[in-house]
Amino acid sequence: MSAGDREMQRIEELLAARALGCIEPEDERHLEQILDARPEIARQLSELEETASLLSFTLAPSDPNPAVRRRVLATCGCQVEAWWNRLANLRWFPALATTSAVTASVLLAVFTTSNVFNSEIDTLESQVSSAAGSWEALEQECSALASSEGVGILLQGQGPAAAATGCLVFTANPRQGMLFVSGLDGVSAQGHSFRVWLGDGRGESRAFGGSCPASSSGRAVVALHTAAPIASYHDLVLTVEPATKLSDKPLGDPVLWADLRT
Amino acid sequence: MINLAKIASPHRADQSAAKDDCHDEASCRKRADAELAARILDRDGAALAELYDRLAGLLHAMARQRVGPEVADEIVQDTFVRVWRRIATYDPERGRLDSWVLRIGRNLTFDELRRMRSRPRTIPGEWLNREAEIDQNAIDPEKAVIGAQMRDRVRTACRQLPAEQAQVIELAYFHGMTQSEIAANAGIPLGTVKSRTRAGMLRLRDLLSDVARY
Repeated sequence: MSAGDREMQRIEELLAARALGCIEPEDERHLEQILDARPEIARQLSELEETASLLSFTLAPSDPNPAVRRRVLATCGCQVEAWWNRLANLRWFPALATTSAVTASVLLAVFTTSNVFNSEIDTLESQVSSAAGSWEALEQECSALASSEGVGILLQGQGPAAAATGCLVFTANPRQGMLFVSGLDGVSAQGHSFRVWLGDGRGESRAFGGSCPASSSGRAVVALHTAAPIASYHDLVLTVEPATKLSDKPLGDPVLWADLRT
Repeated sequence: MINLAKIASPHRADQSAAKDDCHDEASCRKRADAELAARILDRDGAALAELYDRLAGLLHAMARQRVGPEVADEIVQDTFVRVWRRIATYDPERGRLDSWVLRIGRNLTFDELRRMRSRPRTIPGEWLNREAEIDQNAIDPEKAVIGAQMRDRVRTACRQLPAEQAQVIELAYFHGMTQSEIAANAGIPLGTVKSRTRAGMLRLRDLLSDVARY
């Protein structure tokens, strides 16, 4: 066996141990050095990790307590329900009612009609438009709140979406918000999503905030859920990315930007 | 009930239409994983429920062996909450969505095990000796059968390993032992544990290449 073969065998031992989660701390450090120096080794690690994961399939499934499913969906999927349940307690909602009782009642009607929430965004838009006047009226209300109550932030498109405008509204929960954007027609594409990323102003990295499919209407409604309070972030960008291409960092150039410090 | 996810995640027709583009089982599976992950990223609660229904039983079985049924419930819950929050870090190019989720669950299980400072409850060797069974209580019988087929497929591959290689893999993966602990437990040198781990895993990788996504 050549020195190269021995070295490869040694690396494979480290990779197999890492994939199974049984690697010794000292070996782990050695493997990290190897992975840093030889990125091609990462693919082999990925293959072995995939193999190790398949071992779980040898077990016969057992049923968790049915309450677990409800708790998971309450914690995750239904966080958005909780978001809307808090709507009545928002600081801006009474202001909305006083500044535009008509729009407020329409919003309330729309957001509390269950069948609306099983329909597509276009249906929501058309209902808002027909009842409140227009989607633009909704945005105007949002903008008014942003300026008068200080709980919303206006956004301006850039680059190919220079005509886009948007409004970010905070909720009582500092980690949740709602983003309305229109004028994205020029950057909407089938099979793509609009994704929101938040920066902390300390570098290039950004945290994922939320996503919605890129609608042909050029409008986006994104429910934001963030790890840190939204107001603690430095800025926000909206990108257009392939829907099935996932990443923990933005894959496209920003088409919308907002300074969250204002 | 109000469900904002329905608002923020419309226009699925575009994605389902694209499903016809895949050419073989592996590419179709990759696309399906990417689409499901994208739906979860879009905060589609139904997509998370779909993933839960597919994997919760396996996750629970894996955790229950180590930490008991009640803590296993918590681990299943924590796993899916983590999936919901970190789905953006899943890369369909690097492996199956199922594998990614199971890996999260396994890591949480052994984190908990370390906190409990307990050792495995099952006896090494029990792993492959237990009879595979179709979950009679499964909501979807077709999915239960597919799950059973997958289980048989992986079990068959594992049974082709020499017993000493299967043993170290079992102690590592299902009992959360480090290689030093395996050496002490099995009474063999550490170097032997490492070489058996390598040989077993490379063999399994080859045997399961049509099931995994490499």
